[in-house]
Amino acid sequence: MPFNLRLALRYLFSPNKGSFSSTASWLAIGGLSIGITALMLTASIIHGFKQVISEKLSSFEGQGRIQHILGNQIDLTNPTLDSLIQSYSKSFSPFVRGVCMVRSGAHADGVLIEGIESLPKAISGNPNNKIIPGEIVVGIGLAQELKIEKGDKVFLQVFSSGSSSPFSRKIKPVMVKEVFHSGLQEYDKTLAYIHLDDARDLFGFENNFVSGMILNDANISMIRKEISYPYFYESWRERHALLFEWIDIQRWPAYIMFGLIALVGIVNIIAAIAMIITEKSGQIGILMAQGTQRSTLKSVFMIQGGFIGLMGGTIGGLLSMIIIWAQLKFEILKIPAEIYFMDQIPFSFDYPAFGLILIITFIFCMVASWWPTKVVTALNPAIALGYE
Amino acid sequence: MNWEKKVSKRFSESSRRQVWFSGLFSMIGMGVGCFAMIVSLSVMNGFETLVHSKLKGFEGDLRVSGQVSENDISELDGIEIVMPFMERRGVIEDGNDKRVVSLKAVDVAKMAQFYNLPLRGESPKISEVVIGQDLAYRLGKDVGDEIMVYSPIDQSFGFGLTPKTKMTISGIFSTRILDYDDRFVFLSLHDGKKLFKRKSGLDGIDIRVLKNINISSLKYNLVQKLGDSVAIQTWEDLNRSLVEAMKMERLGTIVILSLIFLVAAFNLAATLSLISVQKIKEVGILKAMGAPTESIQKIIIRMGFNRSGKGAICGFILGILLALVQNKFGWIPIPSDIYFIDALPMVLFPKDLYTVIFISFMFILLASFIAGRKLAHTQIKDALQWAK
Repeated sequence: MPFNLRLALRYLFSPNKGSFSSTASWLAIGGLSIGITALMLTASIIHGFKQVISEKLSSFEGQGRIQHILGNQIDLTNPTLDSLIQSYSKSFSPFVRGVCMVRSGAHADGVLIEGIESLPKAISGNPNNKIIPGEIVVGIGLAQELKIEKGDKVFLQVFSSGSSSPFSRKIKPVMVKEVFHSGLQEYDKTLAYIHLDDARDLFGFENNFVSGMILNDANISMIRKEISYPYFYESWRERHALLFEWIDIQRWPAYIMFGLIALVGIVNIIAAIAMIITEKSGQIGILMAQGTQRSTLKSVFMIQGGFIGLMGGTIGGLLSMIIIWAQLKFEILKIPAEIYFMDQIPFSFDYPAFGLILIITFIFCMVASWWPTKVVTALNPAIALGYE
Repeated sequence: MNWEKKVSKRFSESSRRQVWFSGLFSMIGMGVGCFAMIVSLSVMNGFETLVHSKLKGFEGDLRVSGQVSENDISELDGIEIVMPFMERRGVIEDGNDKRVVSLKAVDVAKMAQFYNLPLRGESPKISEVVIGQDLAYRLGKDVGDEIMVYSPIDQSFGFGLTPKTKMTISGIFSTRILDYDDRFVFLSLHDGKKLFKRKSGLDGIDIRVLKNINISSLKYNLVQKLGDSVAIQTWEDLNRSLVEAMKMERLGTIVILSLIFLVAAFNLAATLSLISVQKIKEVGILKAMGAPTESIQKIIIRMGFNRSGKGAICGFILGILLALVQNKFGWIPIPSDIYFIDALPMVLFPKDLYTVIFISFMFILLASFIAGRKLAHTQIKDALQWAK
């Protein structure tokens, strides 16, 4: 074992009970690990929030949608679309969208109806879950407002357009097949799914007409080029661009605030190393008088700083991993779903960010322990020993 | 000057340069903690006050739901103005575009006086409506345009055209709270009575109270007067989950930022324990001369406050200064399209200042107590033996 490493380890794990240098090192390790935990949890929440939102949005809206630029009905037999649909027939599914009133007894509410052939994965857990005509799947928020449960009967009522005859006003009884809970208020309160044919009937679409196509396969990115006026393609990310912009802006104040904890932790390292050098100046004086290189003595304290960094990183990393794991497993920390978009704090493992945090703090640790060692260079053995 | 104070001063002064230096670091740690806490609490208060005043501006301070007469309430003391209203889910329509909204029929004569709405245009008169900015944007409408308004719940199931009313948009409001700008449409009580055929009377009365009136005692008076047949809710009851969420966020911030204090306290403990190691000989002599254990403890605690307390107060003052300067000049801008105001709002409550000072001093006290305990309990024999 090289000399400087041995000395550094001796300073850290001193056999003397109550040795100052080991106490100070362990306090510095504690501070640093708290800082690292805070930063990692911040990164984890931000990543988790984005991930939860992305997953939910993409599962409810598909990867993207093709629609008419004016929101008109789309004829599926249309030659420009037909060729496209033929070539990727598996990844498209048609939908019909409209607004209508849902009534159950004295309660009524407006909903966004989406007529589809199979339910989104997020609801059924199984991508091929079909919905059959005469059934409706509603969000939990809507179900509570209307006081309905699975198996109840509700009436869908379309607002007739001004021009049509009085007889065109459609009322359709449907049975509640399932109540879904997405955690996103926007969906839970306003969205309901019925079968495509029911929706066509309700909103007066002809057989070959739809509101648009949902694209389920993420890999067809060239689709954007193949679609031309008057149709357009919009991915879920573009649809909710403002939300993601909001998350990105919120990110920086959070990083700065929690970075302050790590910063104070790093300041602790400077103080700890400086104090250890002061405390050991007698020993340093003896070693110098015996002819030890100044650079070797400096490296002793650098090794100590590095050890503090490594230990702090390990403990902090493990601690945050445990917290994240516990939250994912037991869902301890809940948040009100009405205000945020989800009902619990969305932790996730953001390994690139974790790695970055660890690397950056380690670099800072090395700089922080290098700085006070400059004193060693200026130390005069005679004066150092004179203190004793 | 009592002798403990004198000794603590001597101990601080005679410590070697680097100990003083690391004392500076523990000052910085506490200062950063205080500063961060003051700033983040004041920002949260700022947003909170803003949201509260907007919510109150939109809904009044108290809501009485049920069949009551306006005169009964306005007789009570402490009431500034009352606003009778009817509310119903309804639809507004423009060509093919339909939106489900909350139609709120109010006494338009009092509208400007009661609501604190940033309104472009004028309050609605007969067959006029005021809609929110987001709704106007989605429908592509502006002040002076016409839309159709109707209430599907109020029509019978039989045949017959939906009674629709053509109305002119007399103004557009922008609250920027939750989804209000997309959801609410104001119209006159006269039109409301015509539209909501199935409603027999008012839904309730919103009350705005005079300043300096205790809302909960007024609520009690109202309950006494009106009996149990009506529901009386304060604006906090109405927005329970938002108020709770904000309280939770504030608690979370205090807890997390206390970690900065914790890390800074580690540093302080390290510094003080170095001093303890260095001064053990002196402490032994003091004890031999009959100094009680508590006095030694007091000396160390005094030294802790001398270092970190100064830092905490500096950070405290800096934070308050920043808040004052920001309020005066608004140097820190925030994107106004996401947060509805241009400059970061900062509000400080005396309660928060006490909390910050209390938490920081608790940490200092704890750190110096733990660091000094060992020293204070050293046996005279051991202490003097240590001396070289």
